[in-house]
Amino acid sequence: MGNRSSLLLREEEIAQIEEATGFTPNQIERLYSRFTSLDRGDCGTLSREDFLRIPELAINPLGDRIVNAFFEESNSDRVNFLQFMQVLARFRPIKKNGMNILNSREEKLRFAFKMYDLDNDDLISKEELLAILQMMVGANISEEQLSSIAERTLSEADEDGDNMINFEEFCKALERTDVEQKMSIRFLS
Amino acid sequence: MKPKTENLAEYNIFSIEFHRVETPFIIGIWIFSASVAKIGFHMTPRLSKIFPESCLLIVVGVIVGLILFKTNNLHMSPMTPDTFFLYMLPPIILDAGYFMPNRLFFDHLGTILLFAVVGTIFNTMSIGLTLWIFGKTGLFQCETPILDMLLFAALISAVDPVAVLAVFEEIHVNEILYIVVFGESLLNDAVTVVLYHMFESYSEMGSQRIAYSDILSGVLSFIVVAIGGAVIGIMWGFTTSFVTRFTYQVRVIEPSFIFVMAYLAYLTAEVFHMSGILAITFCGITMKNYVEANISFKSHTTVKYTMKMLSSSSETIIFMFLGVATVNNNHNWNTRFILMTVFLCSIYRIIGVIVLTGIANQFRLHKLNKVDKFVMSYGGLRGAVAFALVLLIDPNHVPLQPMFVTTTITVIYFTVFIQGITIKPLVKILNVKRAEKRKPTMNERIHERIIDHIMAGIEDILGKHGNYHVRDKFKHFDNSYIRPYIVRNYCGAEPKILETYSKLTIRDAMDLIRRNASNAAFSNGIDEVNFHRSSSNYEKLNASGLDTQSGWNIDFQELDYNPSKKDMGEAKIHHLLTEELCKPHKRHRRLSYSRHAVDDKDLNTQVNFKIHMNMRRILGEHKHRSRRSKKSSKEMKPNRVSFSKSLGTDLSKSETMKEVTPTATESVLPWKREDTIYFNKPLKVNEFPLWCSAKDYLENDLLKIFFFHNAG
Repeated sequence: MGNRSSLLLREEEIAQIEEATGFTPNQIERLYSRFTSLDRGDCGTLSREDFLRIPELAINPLGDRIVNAFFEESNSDRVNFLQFMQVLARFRPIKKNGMNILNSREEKLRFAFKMYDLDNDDLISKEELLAILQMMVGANISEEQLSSIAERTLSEADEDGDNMINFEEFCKALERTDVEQKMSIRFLS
Repeated sequence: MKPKTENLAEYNIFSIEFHRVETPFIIGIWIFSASVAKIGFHMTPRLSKIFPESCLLIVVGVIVGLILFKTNNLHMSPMTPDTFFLYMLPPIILDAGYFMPNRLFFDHLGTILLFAVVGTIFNTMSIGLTLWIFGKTGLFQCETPILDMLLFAALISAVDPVAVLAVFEEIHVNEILYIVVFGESLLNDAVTVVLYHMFESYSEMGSQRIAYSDILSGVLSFIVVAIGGAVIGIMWGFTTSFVTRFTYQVRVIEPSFIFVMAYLAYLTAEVFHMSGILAITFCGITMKNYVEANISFKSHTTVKYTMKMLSSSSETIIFMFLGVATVNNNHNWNTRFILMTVFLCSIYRIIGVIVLTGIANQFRLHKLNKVDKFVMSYGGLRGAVAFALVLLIDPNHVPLQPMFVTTTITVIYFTVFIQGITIKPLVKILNVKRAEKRKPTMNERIHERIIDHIMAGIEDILGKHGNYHVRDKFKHFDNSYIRPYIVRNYCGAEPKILETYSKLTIRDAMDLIRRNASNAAFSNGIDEVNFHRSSSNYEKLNASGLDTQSGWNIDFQELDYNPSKKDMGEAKIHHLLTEELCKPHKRHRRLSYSRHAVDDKDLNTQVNFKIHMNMRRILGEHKHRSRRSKKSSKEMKPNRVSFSKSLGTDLSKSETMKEVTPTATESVLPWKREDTIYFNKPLKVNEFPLWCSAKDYLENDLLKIFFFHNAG
């Protein structure tokens, strides 16, 4: 498998991806082999079904939305390797001399923010928050309780009084959290 | 009671019989004096700034020991291995395990295990072998058999959880550093126990008869001791959680279950020569997850405080006993051996840390830097576990035991005093990131959970089975197979979010009440009379000159506000819901015939009725203000001034009343409306304090209920 994938990936492609995402060639090849193994149709791109076939993703409450995030990059119903890598690049650990901007703290937070913000209006409304809470907490909790949790969360973060959380407020709410650590994966190289 | 036959001779009105109570009495005196000493240090801030508490306790112990020694009263040696391992160690370890930050611990488990297992074995072997080599050259002027040296190295190289906790609690380094050093000190017990027993039996067997199979079985027994201890602990943990599922009828015994069963876990492990420390640690880690959901809030507080008290007193006693035990006359001082041991302990600790962090950093996202390495190697304190273990050595088999005891004491003193005292300023100089202790906010809790899910999802997409993936799997398993069977009121997959919510609500309530002195009056029952009077005054006021005061309400918005049926319904529902979340608890003053019944009516509420109502009022007020701050800040003032003026005669009353400002919800309450039966004239705002609950007005018989409530 690894052999085939390195065959398919040309030198200049690797260089281009390296340029765009900051991954090392080694990591790119590794991820490419994963990419091809996900790609059942062998057409060089991934469809939604390819992602959703991953069994663990099915139990993840955010599975759908995470998959969606990949397609937002491409604006179509297929994801090519470069787009795949660009999304993953957000989770690269931040190096001190990192020049790439894809994995900055802001980009990481932006990704998390997108998980809530379904309608892309750059605001988290109470409904969006509730939807997320419902996904995570499950059905055993009364709607009222969830709703008051959502209310509290909104009022806690909300500063301009619109009862929504915008991105700045979101960042502010998480300013004490070590997002750089939490949203990084050690990609094997 | 004396038997009656003695009456014949002479009946003693007064007699002294000390030896019957001697042991518990002396123990009592010990605990008492240790606690007094502890108070003493906290009263002298200068001392406690320079010295860690453990040092001062040892010093006090030495002084006490000297006194006892001079008066020849040292016949009862306070520090025996049994008292240590069976009575003084378990509380500390249970406390550590129960309040272990699970997430951090499991995130760094790899590093911790590397240090605890490989690091301890490395230290033991290197110290033992080096001492043996030096012994061969005749440096120590005594016979140094290799097995005895290794036995000694095994007990001296284990980092001690008690000492580490005692020192690290005070300096507040960042949590990663803390968990690595502390986790190491907890988990290396398994290694220490195995190595200790192994070398002990080897040295009894004699070095000639050791076969390779014995070494192999040593390795195997390590696995058994470690895994066995952990499994025993986890099993007891689950049993405890399961038992607490059924204790909701007898709340008083909840804390005792937790303590007794954790202790049983420790003892069970010790029975089989497993690692008791590991067992009780894992028991604490396991049961905390489920027990908290089962037991009442009050029981939880009890558990928390009892645990803290027990662990801090045993820690205190351990250090004092260490001091006392130093003073005896079987010391065998061997300067070279002692110096060599101290030197080797420090040097191999440093080497071990450098090598192992190098390895660990290959796999870690957060790299341990130089400062971390330094603190880790410097924080490797030795303590009472080593001392108790050295006392356990049988001098008949190991003739060097007295020398070992002296050396162990010296090493402990060196690490606790020199390293303990200097680590605080060093941490400051090196600018180590300090920990900020805080509770997560609602946003942090939710967003961090989201981040966890994202990361788990990404790991799945990558096909990489990392931390997040494992945690996700475990959570899924836990939520679908474990929790429903163990937790009584199983609610939802994210208990932490609810927990944070409820904690924050309580804290807010407490804060608000505390901050508003005038409101605080409500929360204590004494003011009920006052409150009663003010409300009756109120009635009078309403009855008399209200026409003149119709001008109270200057806020036009308020006047224009005309609640429809739908609004009313909504308001009702809203109140019901908030009530549901923090149920007001009524104090039933019922007669209790059982000594053991704990009044548990406030179990699910956790928020006192009055506190809750006050909070709602204040919050409502706050919302109201912020909503109309621009428009009506001017209008609010005359409103309130005139209000307090009108009631101005009674000072206490006006104080309680003046905080009351109208809110949207208030304005739709029944007594605000024209058709309220109690008031001749309608009052648009401010006419009734908000501390009446939703239920009160729903029953539409407001004042009666009020008086009834006050009277009852």
